[in-house]
Amino acid sequence: MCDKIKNIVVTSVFSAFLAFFAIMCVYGYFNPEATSVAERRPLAQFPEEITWEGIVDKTDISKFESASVDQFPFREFFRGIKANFQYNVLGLKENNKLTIIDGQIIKVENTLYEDSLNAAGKKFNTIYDRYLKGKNTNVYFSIIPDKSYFAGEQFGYPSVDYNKLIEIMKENLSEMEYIDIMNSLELSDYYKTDTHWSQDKIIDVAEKISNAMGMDFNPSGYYDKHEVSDFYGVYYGQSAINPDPDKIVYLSNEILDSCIVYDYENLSKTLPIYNLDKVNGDDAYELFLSGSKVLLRIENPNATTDKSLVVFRDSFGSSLAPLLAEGYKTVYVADIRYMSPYQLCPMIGDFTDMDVLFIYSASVINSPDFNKTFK
Amino acid sequence: MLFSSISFLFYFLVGVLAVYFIMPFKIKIFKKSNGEYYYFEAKNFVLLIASLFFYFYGEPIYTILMVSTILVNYIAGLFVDKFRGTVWSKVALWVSVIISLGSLGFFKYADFFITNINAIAHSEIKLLSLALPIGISFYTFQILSYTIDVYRGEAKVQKSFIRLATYVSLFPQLIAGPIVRYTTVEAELSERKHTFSNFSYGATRFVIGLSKKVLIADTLGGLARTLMGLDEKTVVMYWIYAIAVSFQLYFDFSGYSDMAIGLGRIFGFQFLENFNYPFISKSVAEFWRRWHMSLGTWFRDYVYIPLGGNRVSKFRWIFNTLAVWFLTGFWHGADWTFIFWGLLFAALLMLEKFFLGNILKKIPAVFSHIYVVFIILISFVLFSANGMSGAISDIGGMFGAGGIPFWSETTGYYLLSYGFVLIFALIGSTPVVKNTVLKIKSFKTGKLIIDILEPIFVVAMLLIVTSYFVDGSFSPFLYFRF
Repeated sequence: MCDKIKNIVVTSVFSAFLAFFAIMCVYGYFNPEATSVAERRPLAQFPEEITWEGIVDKTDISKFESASVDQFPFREFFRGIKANFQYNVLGLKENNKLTIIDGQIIKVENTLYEDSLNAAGKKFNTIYDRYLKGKNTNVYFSIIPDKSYFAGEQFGYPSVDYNKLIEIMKENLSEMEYIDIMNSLELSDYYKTDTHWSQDKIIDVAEKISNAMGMDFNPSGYYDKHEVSDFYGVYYGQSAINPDPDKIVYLSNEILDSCIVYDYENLSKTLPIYNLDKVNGDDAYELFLSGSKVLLRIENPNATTDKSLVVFRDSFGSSLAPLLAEGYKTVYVADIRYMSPYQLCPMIGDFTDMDVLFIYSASVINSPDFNKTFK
Repeated sequence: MLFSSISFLFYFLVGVLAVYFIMPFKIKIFKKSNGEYYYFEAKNFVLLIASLFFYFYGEPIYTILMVSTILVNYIAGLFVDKFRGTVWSKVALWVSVIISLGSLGFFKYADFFITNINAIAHSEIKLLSLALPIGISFYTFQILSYTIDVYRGEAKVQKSFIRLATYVSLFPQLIAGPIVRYTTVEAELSERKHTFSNFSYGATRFVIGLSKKVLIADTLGGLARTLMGLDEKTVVMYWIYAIAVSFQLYFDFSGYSDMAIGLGRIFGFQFLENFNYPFISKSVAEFWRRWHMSLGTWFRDYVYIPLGGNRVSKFRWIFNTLAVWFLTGFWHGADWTFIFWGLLFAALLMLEKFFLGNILKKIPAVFSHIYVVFIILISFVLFSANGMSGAISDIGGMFGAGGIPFWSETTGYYLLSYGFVLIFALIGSTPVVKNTVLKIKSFKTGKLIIDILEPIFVVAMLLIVTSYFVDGSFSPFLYFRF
């Protein structure tokens, strides 16, 4: 090839590449996407109007920059190129902090946010002091390790110092009894493409917690396992590498099927324990107790006891609470991430003679965003 | 606006290239009384407007400062030329120097001096907390090269404001160098060639620079930040950090220079090289002949030589060296770390001059390389440190200060994870790839293969780099802060 032809070809491909994507960017400008399904987040939008003030203080320019990135054409295609280049060419173990071990997608997290843990302790103690103290309640707390804990333990990846994390929380929640579930879990108990555990893999966890609270576990003595559908967890889209999806699984039996769930956002309607309508939604994990709900009450008509349990929880608790519900007459499932405990707790009652369990994933209480997450 | 951004690549650059190449170089406006035509230099005008917009996009308010500086120096240049041989010529030069350096000093160093005065005098003078105008250190030095060279008679005065403003504000090198001397582009401002050869070379060079910045510098920058954020640090971790920040600085800055040179070539300008594989140097003196060459030669020609250079007494030479390297360090930032960084090199250059240089020439090359690499790693840790206490802590960590462990599992994880990138960076910091390509091109078949691969390489790297923009986060060039 003579130099002249080569120069023309290089000039042409460079110009064509820029021109093609410039045209696509203009298309994206006039036809912006609202959300990224894969990343489960809203996409930045171009400023509706650009003002002189917005230019001078750079807010409009900043918005334009963010939107030009988020609205770039073929976004998922490019995210896939980057992820594959990071893992397979540069040999990096992480892409956007996500690593893959035996097909498990794990977010590498090794920072201990002591301020966040102290804030969590303070938040839970506020509830204890105001609503539980002196009410003959049995108060427990437990911490669900993130998948990165196992990556650290088994594969030498950086991970949070869980011994220290638990010690801090024990110190913070000295009035509560700690239930250790760390040894009842392993990496394969979690979905490969999601942060959450799989309900069929946490029977031993539920048993341990029930026993620690002095309740019968699984009085019906069996579970039917239902494999519902493909489950594209939160890491599926974030990883951008198109891994095989998981299968979402739930457990049922006669007692669980008879339970009735009341939603305090609309008490006139009841919900099923497993809401199969949610399976085809954005997050199939919302199958469990219909996902994000401020306060639910599970009534167990076949209970052999009058005991009530209050579970303060995050999304992990949605799949755990049904397994605990078998042993109780009533289980309240409360999420103080969406409503202040000062509004929420009075709706439960006065807590007398109730069992109370605070169970949170480490990724929620050990987070720089803790104060933004909780009301 | 960042070169490594979607807004630059797919909005700004595409628009500028389209308009620039549609426009003729000159447009006839009217016939003057002497029969000559007055031409409107359309391409220069497009570049000037584009460059002002480029700067305005990042620094809306400080655009006024830059344009004012250009205007003052344009007038100063005219006065220097008009009153050549009289005292007024010198006055005009001093006005240019004082206003340009005064502006740089005020915006960049005011808070540094206030902080130090407060510390020494226990006063409580309020800090000005001014934002540093992007690229002020670069464009100030560029415009001073114009007025000083006009005063010295080494450059002709530029009577066209558009040409001078185009030179100073030219967006490819405006905010992070290289420091392009006026004399380098003087002829090209009035006439330059636009060829497929120039465009092709420029595009490839631009893509190489972009890839160096995005794929290597930013990746290693991420490693450096992660390591510094770890709770448990080890000796080996500090050394990995030192290597990461050194390569980050090199690939960030040389990548930017590659992009500037490439863009310049697309628009018909031939900027001088700014880096020449500095990490292969066998002495500190050689390192500085290969690192940020445009800054080194600027200080040599406009500070060191006017001070007498090395044709002076030993003590005067020591003073000259200290002065130049103090200023070199201070130019990089208003912090004592940068001053000590500059003085460290002054000390090493003096050591090499007096006795170490001869030793370095006699010992096997591998040992002189090790010496340079060792010095460079330490110096870049100092350069990147958060204040002097941070520098002492980081450099101390490299030697086990504080009783930190030598190694940990986490250190091993990051070394393993970033091992390939560090090896790519090591290879990329030497002329191995360039020499291999040249060797292959020396054969007919080899040249054919390289010629076929070049456009494929350009598109592939553009795709990969774009994927990093789409999935990445904001990562400004390190030298923007200078």
